[in-house]
Amino acid sequence: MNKHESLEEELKSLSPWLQEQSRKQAGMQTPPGYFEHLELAIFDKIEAQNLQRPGLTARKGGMLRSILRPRMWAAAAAVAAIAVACWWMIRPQSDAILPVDTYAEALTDEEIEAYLLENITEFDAGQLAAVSYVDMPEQTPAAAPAPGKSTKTADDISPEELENLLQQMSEEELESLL
Amino acid sequence: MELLRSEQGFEKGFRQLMAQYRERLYWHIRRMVLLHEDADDVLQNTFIKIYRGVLQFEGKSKLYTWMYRIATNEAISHLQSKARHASESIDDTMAAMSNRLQAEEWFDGDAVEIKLQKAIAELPEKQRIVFNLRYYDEMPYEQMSEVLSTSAGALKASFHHAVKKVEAAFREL
Repeated sequence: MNKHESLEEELKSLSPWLQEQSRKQAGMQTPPGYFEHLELAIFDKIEAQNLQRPGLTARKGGMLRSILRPRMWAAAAAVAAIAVACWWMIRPQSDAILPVDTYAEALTDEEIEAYLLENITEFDAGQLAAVSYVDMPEQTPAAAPAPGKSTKTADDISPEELENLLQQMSEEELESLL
Repeated sequence: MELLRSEQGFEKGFRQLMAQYRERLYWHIRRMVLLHEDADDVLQNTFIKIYRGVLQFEGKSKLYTWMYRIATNEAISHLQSKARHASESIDDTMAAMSNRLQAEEWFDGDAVEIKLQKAIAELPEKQRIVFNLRYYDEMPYEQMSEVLSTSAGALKASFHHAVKKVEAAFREL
């Protein structure tokens, strides 16, 4: 049974109507002489695309050929552009705002003091007054003076008073202070 | 193939290949894209791909089925690009092309042939290819299996479905 008979058998059982239809070009035509001119059109296109005759040597050098393809270069350029864009986004920025500590380390005490004296008016006095010992982590409530108690500083204490205080303190208390 | 592989005979061999297969490949492509102008573009691109790749052809399948596969893929790519360009599905593109068939310069089919082409155009893409390869090209399932990388059994089932659908669609049109 050849392929033609086989198809006929198939169509006979599937669709006798389709079997009866003409399967020759189904009404489709080509311009006169189309196939005769096709060869010329294809070779013109091959020349226009500057295609080299695909020799066996070119086939062996497939890797080199693929490297030299413009498409490969375009892909490489795209990858490079993406890499540069990523570096640009994540690079350390010289003009970025640094933490206050970093600036403070770069300044001397005198510079900081001079700045504060010059700009002290910029602080809100009310805000400064509102700052309680609770807001200051290094100053614990226990260390703060109790209401109504004396708030003398070390400079206000006379040498006699200091000596009395030292005599009243135990050795452990003195060690803990030092 | 020997002529193609010889240093002096490549061009002569390629011309022979074109002369031998140009008509079969043209009609296969034309039935997929329907219009002559599109078929001409696709056929030329197919032969350029064959020109570029024929020396890499390893002979795992028949040269003829390898060329059919290139032609089929080129025709599908052409339809996809046309559909993308018109922002529509391939099915819609096929329907539009089958509607243009009557006005096509290189078509002189009668009303039955126009209706038949419209009914075929309504098939899903793969079934349409299977139907055309079997019904018009009379390609055996084994060869079709090489072209479409699908089992012969599945292709036969697909053809049977396609025949039923075409007949039903024809009667509805």
